[in-house]
Amino acid sequence: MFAAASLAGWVAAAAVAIWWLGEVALARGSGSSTALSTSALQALVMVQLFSIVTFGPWLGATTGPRSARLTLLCSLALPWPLVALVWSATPLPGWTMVQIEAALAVLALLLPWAGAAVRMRAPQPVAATLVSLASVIAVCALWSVRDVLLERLS
Amino acid sequence: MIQGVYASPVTAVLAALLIAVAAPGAPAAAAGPAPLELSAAWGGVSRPGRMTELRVRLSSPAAGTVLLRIASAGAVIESALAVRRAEWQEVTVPVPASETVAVRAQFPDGTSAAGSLPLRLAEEPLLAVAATSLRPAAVSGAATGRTARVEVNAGELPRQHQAYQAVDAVLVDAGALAQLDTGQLQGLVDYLGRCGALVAIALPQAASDLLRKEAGCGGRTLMLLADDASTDAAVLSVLAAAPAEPVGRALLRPLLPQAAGPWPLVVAAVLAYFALAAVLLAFAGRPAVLVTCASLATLAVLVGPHVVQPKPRLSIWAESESQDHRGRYSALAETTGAGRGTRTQVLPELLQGAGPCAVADADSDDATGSADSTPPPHWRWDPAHSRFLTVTFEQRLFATAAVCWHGGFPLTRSASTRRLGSGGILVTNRGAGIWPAGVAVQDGRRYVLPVVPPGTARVLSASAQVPESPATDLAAMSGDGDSAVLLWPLELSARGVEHLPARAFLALRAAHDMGGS
Repeated sequence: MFAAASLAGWVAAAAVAIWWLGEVALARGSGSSTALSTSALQALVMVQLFSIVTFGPWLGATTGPRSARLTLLCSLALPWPLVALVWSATPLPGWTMVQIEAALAVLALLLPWAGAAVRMRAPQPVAATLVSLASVIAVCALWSVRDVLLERLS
Repeated sequence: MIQGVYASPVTAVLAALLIAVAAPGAPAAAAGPAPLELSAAWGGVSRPGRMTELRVRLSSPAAGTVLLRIASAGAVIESALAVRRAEWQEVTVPVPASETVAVRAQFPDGTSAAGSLPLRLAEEPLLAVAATSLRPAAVSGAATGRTARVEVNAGELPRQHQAYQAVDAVLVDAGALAQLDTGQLQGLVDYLGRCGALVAIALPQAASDLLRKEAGCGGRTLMLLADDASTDAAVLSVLAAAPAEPVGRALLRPLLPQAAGPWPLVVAAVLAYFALAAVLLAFAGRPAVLVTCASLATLAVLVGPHVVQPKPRLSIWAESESQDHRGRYSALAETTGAGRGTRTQVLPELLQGAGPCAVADADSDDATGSADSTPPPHWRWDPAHSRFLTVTFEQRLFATAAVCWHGGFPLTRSASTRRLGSGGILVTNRGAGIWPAGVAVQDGRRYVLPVVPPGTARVLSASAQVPESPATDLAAMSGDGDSAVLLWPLELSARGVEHLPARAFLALRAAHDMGGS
C-alpha cells in the first residue's frame, strides 16, 4: 500500500516537473516564467491534495489509521523539494506556502481516521472506496466553485 | 512646491491646527516651517516613462544623517544625506517620471516627514524654454505644431544629465546661460554631448565655440541663432535631427553573452532527486527514510541559491558619428535569479547614468517593473558623487532583473566611406589612432574591416562578407544608407566589470566620402 500510494505521488510530481521545466525552457526570455511557475505550483498542490483525498480514507479503512497516516505523510513529503523549487519561481509569500502544506498535512492525519471510522460502522471494503470517491468528488466540486467561495469569504 | 509635514503625532496635531486656522487657499509655507520641500525639473512636466530630476529641500531638527526614500514609477530610490541642525539643504535625485512622486525623510532624531509631488506627463514632444530676453512671439508654436512648451527659469535647469530625458528640446539664450552654475552647465553640456536637441540664441562667441565642440551627432542637434527671428524653424530642425531615444532593453538583450542560466542545474537537481526517491521507494520501503530525504532535499533547495549567487550579464552598445568628440552608450545588465531572496547588485563605476529600464522595455519578469506583487527594486543614490551605487531587488528563480544605463564618453575616431563600383567600399581612417579589426555595415551588407592605421584607406571587398549577428543587425539599423557604419567589439577591463560576462560594441557612423582625398 505504501509503495502504491508513494509511487502514484512520484509519477504525478514527476509529470508536473517535466511539464514545468519544459515550458520554462521554451519561455526563457519571454518573461512568462512566473505565470508558468504559478500554474505548476497550483498543479503540484492539487497532486498532493488528490493523493491524500484518494488514498486517505481507503488506506485508513484497509491498513489502519496509524500506517495510513505514515504512508500519506510520505506521499505528501515526496514532492516537497519540487514544491520548494517551483515556489521559489513564484511571487507567493513563503508563509502562505507553509500554511498550505500544513493544511495538507492536517488533512493527511484526519482522512485515515475517517476511513477507519467508516470501516468500523460498515465493514464491507466497498464502503471505504465509496468514501474516497465521495471525497474526491467533494474536492472537485469545491475547486470548481472556488472563485465564488473566495469572493463570498472576502 | 509641495510642502511635507511631520509624521510624529504632536507635530501632526500642531500642523492640523495651523492648517485649520489658515485662510483657505493660503500657501502651505505660511502654515509653519515645513521640513520638506519638493520640486521637479521643468516645472514638474515630463514625458512619461523618462527620467526627470527631483529636488528635495529639507531642514532637519537634529544634526546627523537623513534617510530619504523616494517612490516613483515602480522604483524606490534611497539616499543618505549628512545634515546640520535646522539648516536648509538641497539634494537633487534623478527619478523616473510618474503621475506622483512620493518622498519620505527619516531625520536623525527619529521623526520623519513625508510629501508627494504630482508630475504632469506630456504625450506630445516637449520644448523647454529657459530664456531671459526672448520675444513672446518668437516661439509661436505655429511652426512647431503639436510641440508642448514649458517655460523655466535658468536657475531651475537640471544638474543631472538624466533629467534632460524628460524633454525633447531645450531653448536657451545668453542671459539664461549666464545664470547657470557649474553643475547646471555641466548637465547642459552632457545633454548636448548625448545628441540632445538645443537651440541657443545670441550667445557670445566663446560659449558658441564650447557648445559646438561638445555637441554630439555631428552638431546636427545644435542650432546657434544670432537672434530669435527664426526660432520656430530652428526648433523644428533640431527636433528632426535628434536621434531616437537611446537603444532600449529590447535591442540590447540579443547582445548579451549567451548563458545557460540556472535551468540546467535545476533540471539536474530534479532528475537526481527523483532518481534517489525511486531508489528509496524500491529498496528502502520505510516512510521515515523517504520523509527525511525529502526534507533534506527541500532544505538544500531553499539554502542553495543563497550560497551560489548568479553573475549579471552585461551588454554595452556605444555609438557615435565621425568627427564627434563624444559618443553615447546604452548598457544593459541582466541577472537571472537562481532562487528566492534579496540580492544587492553593485553598479559598476565605469558606467554612468544607471537607472531603471524604461517602462516600455520592461516585461512581467522584470524586477525593475512592478507587474506582479514583487516589491519594487531599491536604488541607492550617492548625492556626493551624483550616481546610483547599488540596486537591491527581490530575486526569484528564472526571473530576470535588469539595470539600464545611458551615458556619454569622449571619442576621437573619425572615418569616411565611399561606395565603389565593384560593390565594395573604401574606408578611410581620418583620426589620429589606429583602428582594430572590426566589421563595416552598409546597405545591409557586412564587410570585414581590417586593422587601419591613421591616415590610410582600405578597400573592403564585397566578396569577404561576415555573417549576420545581433550586433551587425543593430549597426545596420543605425545606418542611414549613404555611409557605412563601422563596428568594433570593445574589451572591458575596467574595475567592476572585468569579471562579468560582457559584450560591448562601438558603432561609428562614417562620413560620406564624396570622392576627395
